[in-house]
Amino acid sequence: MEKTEREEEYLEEIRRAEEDGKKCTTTFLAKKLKISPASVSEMLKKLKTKGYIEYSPYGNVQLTDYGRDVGKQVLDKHRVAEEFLLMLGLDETEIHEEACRIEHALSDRVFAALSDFLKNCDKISPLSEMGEGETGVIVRIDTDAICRGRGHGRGYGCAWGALKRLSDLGFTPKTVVVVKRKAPLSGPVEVEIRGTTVCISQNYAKGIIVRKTEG
Amino acid sequence: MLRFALAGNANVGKSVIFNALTGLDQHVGNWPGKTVELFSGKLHFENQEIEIVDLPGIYSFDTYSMEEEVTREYIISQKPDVVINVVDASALERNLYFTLQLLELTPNVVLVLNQMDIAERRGMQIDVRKLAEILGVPVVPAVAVRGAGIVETIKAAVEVTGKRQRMHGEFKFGHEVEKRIRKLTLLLQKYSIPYPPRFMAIRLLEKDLQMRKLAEKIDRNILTAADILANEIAEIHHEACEAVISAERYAVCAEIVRRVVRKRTVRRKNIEFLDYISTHRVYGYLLLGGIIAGIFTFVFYTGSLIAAGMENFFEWLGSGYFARFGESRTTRIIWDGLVAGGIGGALGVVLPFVLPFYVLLAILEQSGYLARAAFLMDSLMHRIGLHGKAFIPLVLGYGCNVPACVGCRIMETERERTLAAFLSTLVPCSARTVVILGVTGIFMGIHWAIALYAFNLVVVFGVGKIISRLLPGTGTGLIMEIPGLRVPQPLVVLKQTWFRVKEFLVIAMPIIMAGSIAIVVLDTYGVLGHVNAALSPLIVSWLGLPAVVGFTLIFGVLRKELTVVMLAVFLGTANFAAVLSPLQMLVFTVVVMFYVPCVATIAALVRELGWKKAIAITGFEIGFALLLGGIIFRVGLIAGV
Repeated sequence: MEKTEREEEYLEEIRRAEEDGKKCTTTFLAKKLKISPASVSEMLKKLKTKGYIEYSPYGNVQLTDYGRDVGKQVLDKHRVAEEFLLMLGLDETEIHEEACRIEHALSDRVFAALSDFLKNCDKISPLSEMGEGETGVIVRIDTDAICRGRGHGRGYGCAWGALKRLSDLGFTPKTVVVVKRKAPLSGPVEVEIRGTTVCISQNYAKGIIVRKTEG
Repeated sequence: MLRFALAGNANVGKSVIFNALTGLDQHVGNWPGKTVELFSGKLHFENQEIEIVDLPGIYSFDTYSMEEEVTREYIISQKPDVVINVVDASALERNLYFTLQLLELTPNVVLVLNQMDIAERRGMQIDVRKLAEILGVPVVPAVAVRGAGIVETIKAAVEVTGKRQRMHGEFKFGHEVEKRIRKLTLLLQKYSIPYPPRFMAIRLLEKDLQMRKLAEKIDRNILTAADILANEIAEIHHEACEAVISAERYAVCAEIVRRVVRKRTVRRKNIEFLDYISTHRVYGYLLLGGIIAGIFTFVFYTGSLIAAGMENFFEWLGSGYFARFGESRTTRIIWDGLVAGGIGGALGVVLPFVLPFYVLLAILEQSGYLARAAFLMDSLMHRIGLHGKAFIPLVLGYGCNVPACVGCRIMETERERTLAAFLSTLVPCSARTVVILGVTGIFMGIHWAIALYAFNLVVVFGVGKIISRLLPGTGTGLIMEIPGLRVPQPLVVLKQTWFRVKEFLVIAMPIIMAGSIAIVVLDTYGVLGHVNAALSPLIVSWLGLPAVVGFTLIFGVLRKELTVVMLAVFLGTANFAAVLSPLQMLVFTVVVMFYVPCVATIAALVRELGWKKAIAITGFEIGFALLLGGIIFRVGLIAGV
């Protein structure tokens, strides 16, 4: 059954109220959506016939199971869009409106890909920012971070060949590392890598980019 | 005569195997032009004399560190009959990384799978025969600390010498990389080069500086070709070519491990607990503090007992000597200068204080604890332009500055070595401790002595901070493997201690003896009086000390503890409190603590850093000590100490 953007907008709002535990009435929706109560009643009737909601006049609007699924999905898309916009550097005040437009354009496939990306983004950090006991996989070695501020040319003996020493000790992409210990006062990080324990100073740990994994 | 070389990573038990093979018949020599020491020894096996050389522990064959360069050049130019590659069976993946490179360099390899017991305890089962098959070289399982596998190793190595080995070139990298290695190898085959072409090709792609220089000398085209190929690889993988090669080599290692090792998870509660405590952010530091305090207390209590015994012994010997040879200028010079002053004086510090201190340190080092201490101290060391490893030479300095300077070789760059050596000469060695305890400690109370130690730490820290700003270049960081905790092997501990004490005996003893004779001669002929007179304005009006202190400071250049001995002689009493004010004692102690590295330390500085830096450091310390002494004197007067 085709659903319009407006319908999606309603279902999203009803779902949000349900999540927050608020009473969802015609007046409430009218205020939220900035629409006259009369138009809201009209739309609610339409939604009821399509089987999205149940309601009695002057009572609460309730989502059917089907309606809840749709509402939840739109809301999730809205949130992912907001998160993404925030990451792009947009202001918090403007992201809601923008996300309201994007949410309807997101196909399920793009939505899944985007939320996956955001999930991993969150997990990608320098080794220096991982906590004790956390496991990760090396994504890449940020040579600039490791050589930052040093007078040597890149690649050639940068910081006495620290890069080479790191890769000789097995700090190469796709390698699993476990953070065993972090010394206080931005001290070195002790990691388990390839069956051995190695400790590296904070300045090198900052240049080793890892993706956190479970266990 | 056959010649076998031992090679492998650090902390794999190479020296245990070396000791087991050669017994006590060992020599140490420097590689020409380098400060890397090579140990060698002899062994008789089935009527053959075999020379064993212990190469330094390294991770790869790049020439970033002297150890790596020396190992590579040794294998290429000295052509040992067999390279015995010792690997840690419990960290096979890491160790094979080196093995694969070694096999690019020479086919005459025997692999010793050492620490099989540890591997087993960690739940690893290694298929030795399969490993040998994959690598194409004999593999001997061993537990060197128990002597297991030693004879088998030699047998396998001797067998290898009988056969003509073929180069094992078949550890293939990924397709794109392999293709380009082959291309470069083919090109290199046209030239006469001292390395196997494939080895050199891989090094060139890894942008090894020395290989680049060599290639440039042979034909610039090689370098151009290598750069083009390396760039192609970098572009395909979006990563520096050397990183790609490391990653792919490790991939081969991981694959080999997957095929030969079966692993189950084993928990070892005791070790894990110790490991947990030793680097804990609170308990770790408490433990470190406790260990250091314990060592110092132990060393200085037992040390003073031994020192007293030795003093009595030399007194007894002296009375016998003068009874036999009579009192004359010559016998005085020989006794005071050479025997009591030179030999007795030098041993009087080494035997009671330095030796026990270094035994304890070697135990900590062998147990794997010092690496953990370096981990804990790294962030502090960063503040003075160094990193965690510098903690080790600094602590060595509390025993004797000479081995401390030599110990600075573990630092990676010239800048770090200079800074660490400089700072370790500011650390109060056991001779200076005799002064601190013997003057301030006894006559002003132990809290003053402890305060002076704390003050010294502040000075070391402050000077480090300033000098690290002044030295060109920027600081580097710590990259260090942390070995598993283990029970130290007595023989290895003794050897380690011996080689550190030997630094003292070789560098310091002859200089102390010569210097001692020189000073006694000068004193006998009244020259020192003039020097003292020249110094006296500085000593008396600037530092507020009795004029005779000038003498003691001259003697102190030989050995710092002589300052106290001579002070007692010149003042005519050992009860300093009767003739010196507390402020004077304080100024005296501080000046002695900093005023100049002793001759032996200066010699060590010259050897490690060269003349210029040694003179600069010495000059700085003389000026600094006098400045500090004068300031303390004036502040003390105002404060009314």
